[in-house]
Amino acid sequence: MSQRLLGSVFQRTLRDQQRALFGFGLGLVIYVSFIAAFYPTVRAQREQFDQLIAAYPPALRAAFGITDLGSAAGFLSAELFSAMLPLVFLIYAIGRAADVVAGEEERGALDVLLTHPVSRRRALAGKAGGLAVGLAALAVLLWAALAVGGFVVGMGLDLLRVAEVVLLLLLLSYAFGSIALLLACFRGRKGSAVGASSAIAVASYLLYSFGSIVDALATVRKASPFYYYAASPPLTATFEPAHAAVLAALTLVATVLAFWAFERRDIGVG
Amino acid sequence: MTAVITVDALTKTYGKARGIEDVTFDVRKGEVFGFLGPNGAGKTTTIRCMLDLLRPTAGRIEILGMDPRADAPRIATRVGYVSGEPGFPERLTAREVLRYSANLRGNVDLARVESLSARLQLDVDRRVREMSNGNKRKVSIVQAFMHEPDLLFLDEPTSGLDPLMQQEFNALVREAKAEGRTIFLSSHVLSEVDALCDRVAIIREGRLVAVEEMGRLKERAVHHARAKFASPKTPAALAGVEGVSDVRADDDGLIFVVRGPAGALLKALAALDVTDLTLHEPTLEEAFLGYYARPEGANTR
Repeated sequence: MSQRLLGSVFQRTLRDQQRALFGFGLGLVIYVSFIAAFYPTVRAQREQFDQLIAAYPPALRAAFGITDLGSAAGFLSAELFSAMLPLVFLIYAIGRAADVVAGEEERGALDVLLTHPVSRRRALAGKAGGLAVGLAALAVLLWAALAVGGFVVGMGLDLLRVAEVVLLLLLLSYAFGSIALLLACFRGRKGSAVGASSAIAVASYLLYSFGSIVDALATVRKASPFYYYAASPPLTATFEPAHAAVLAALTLVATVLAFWAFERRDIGVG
Repeated sequence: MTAVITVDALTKTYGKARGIEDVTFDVRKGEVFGFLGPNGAGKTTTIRCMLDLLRPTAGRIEILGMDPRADAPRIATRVGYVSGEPGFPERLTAREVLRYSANLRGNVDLARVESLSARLQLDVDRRVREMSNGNKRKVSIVQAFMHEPDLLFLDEPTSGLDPLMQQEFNALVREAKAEGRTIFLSSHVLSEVDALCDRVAIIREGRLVAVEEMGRLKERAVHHARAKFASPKTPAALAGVEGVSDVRADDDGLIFVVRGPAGALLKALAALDVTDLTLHEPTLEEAFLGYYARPEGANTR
């Protein structure tokens, strides 16, 4: 019976995401198609682009993930994975994670849910699980869009490497999503949970980016979750399982703390 | 009688809200227990502590013999709740909300959900988001009654309902009582409490002022009175009489307020050559004011 109860909140969380998933998914597919369609032009003028890139300071190239625009992998890294996709995935993860707890709480729906025979732990498990699956669906869609788009314009992508970079992206979004979940579980204010997690995300991104340019920050940048996403990109370098593990561990710790906080606090007083 | 709810020295302080302090009462099986007080007195705080939504700062609560914190899901199977400000997954229709509720509970007769919705004239195909407060309240009422719970927490359940629906709601409460269920009803609507409750607790500024049988409450209440005399009297004539206050004179005699038993007053009047005495049956509002107007620590008797 308890399994079914968990299932209900989980299913509800998934269904509540339908529209958002559809919107974000459609946006992703359109954007990926657009970028893919642009690739043949870049490839045709590869030399000019390479000269242009070579003129950038090396540190800047590293900071923005620009290695080799002419290759498909380099092109995708620079155009999609360096900024745009993390931005999209983090917006989704942070916004939804804060909403399933604090948003529902502010609307009074959490009160009503928790007076049903669902423990706080099970309610949160259903919500976090539904969110994790929603993000994973978005990641799978992204992978499929890249596979199809890459095939159509002849990028010759290694789909396993694409899967690896998408996995890192997913883990990055889990990490920040779980931070937002923790803040929402800690205090129950959607606005402050979204604001604080977004601020942490931006600070992490800046720390990593500057850390790549400024030598003095080279070690400090390892404190940024973005380091574990971007320092060794599977498309242009190699997939580091240890980096994926760091992001997974961060997610785990934040999620465990979220359960701990949610179990203990007053509901609906913000 | 068995206590279904035991609240012992409950204190809850938080944030900038006043909270409640040292609240003690119990609710017996099968009674309709009114929880009366103005907005902000601590009614909702008390209910939310009993539902484990708020964690008490101090004190002890027992619901159906269980601890709200440790046994929340088990208690919830036997408890129904109408929230003071009900919230729902807003994109859903009332039907979907109720189905979700029934799904979470697992032991709900869907025919009962339909009959409750019909009795309250709830349009189940409308989205909750588009509903008026009164209609949201109806959704909440159906949610609370659908699984025929042993104990109902009703927090200002009829606010926003039109008079006809309030009557239907009162009928639901009476039926639940007839079936042996226990009802905890918070309200600032005095007529509602008057019509439904066996006992009433009065809460003011976070403290319990009184717990009384409904009848006793009225008895102890403020009576407005008028006395006529054979010869004119000044207010001084009733000065110092126990339970009497606010004495004024008019052309017909004296007008005053009596609190509590009228024995001392009758003795005083008998000595004053009284020709006529009228005591008005107090409304609950006056009963309520009787408790409220009393200064700290003073006794009416």
